[in-house]
Amino acid sequence: MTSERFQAVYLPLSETLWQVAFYILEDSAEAEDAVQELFLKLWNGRDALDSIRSPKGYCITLLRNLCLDRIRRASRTVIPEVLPDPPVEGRQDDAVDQRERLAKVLDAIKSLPDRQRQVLTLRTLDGLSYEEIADRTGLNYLTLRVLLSQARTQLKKMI
Amino acid sequence: MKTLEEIEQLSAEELEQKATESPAAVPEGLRSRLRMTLAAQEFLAGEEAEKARPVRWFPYATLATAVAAATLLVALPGRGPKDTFDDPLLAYAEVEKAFQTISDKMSVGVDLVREAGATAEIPQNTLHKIQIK
Repeated sequence: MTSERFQAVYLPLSETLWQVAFYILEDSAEAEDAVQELFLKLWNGRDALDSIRSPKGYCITLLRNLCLDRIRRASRTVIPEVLPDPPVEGRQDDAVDQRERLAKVLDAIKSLPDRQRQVLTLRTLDGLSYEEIADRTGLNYLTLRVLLSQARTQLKKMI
Repeated sequence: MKTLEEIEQLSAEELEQKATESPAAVPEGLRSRLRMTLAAQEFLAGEEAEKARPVRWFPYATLATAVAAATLLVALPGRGPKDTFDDPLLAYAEVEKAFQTISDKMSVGVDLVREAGATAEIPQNTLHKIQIK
């Protein structure tokens, strides 16, 4: 599924999905986190999304499972009397590292000036060419390249 | 108070219906933040792909060798002909010498090719003789 189609089909569901997450989790920030997690899962597996007949039903089912997992994880988080063995290095560490890197990049994107953020999103997420971005933003080619380069440098510093 | 089991038993449609019966206010800019999250994810994926790509060292090695060779040629004293002359006669003489050198080398090359041709003809002639017999 192309980025354009993904954004046309799945992003408009975000508000409804947040309502569902909020209904289950009863916490606004937690609900947003769950929706974010869902969208990352969908995005990473977007090649397989073309075969989904009911995107909304699919998303709600996935989201419900994610929310229930969160509740179960939270209820298990009690201080143990005996400290468990340290986890084996590998996939779990990689996943944590990945989440931390993503959080850092996300913070960096949020802190970018508006124009840099807009250009970066259009290029990275929407996959637009420089000409298309120039048409859409009214920026000239050189300014566009400079803004994009500055944004990327800023993000690379963060990871 | 809803339980996890109740939530698990609801269909997607029922869950949506219950969630939107008395809707809470969706945080402002949710969609925009989601777009940013996806952009961050895509940026990271791009960076990782970049890191995973093997370094194409061959062009750099070739370039470095060429630069080193050129530096040696220029830096070593007495190597190579002088390339500018104040006196046109000297310049002409130098060009003539250069052509003579090329010609000598080519003559040697041509002789070598002739020699190789003659050597190559030996088995061919032998085969020819065998066929005639």
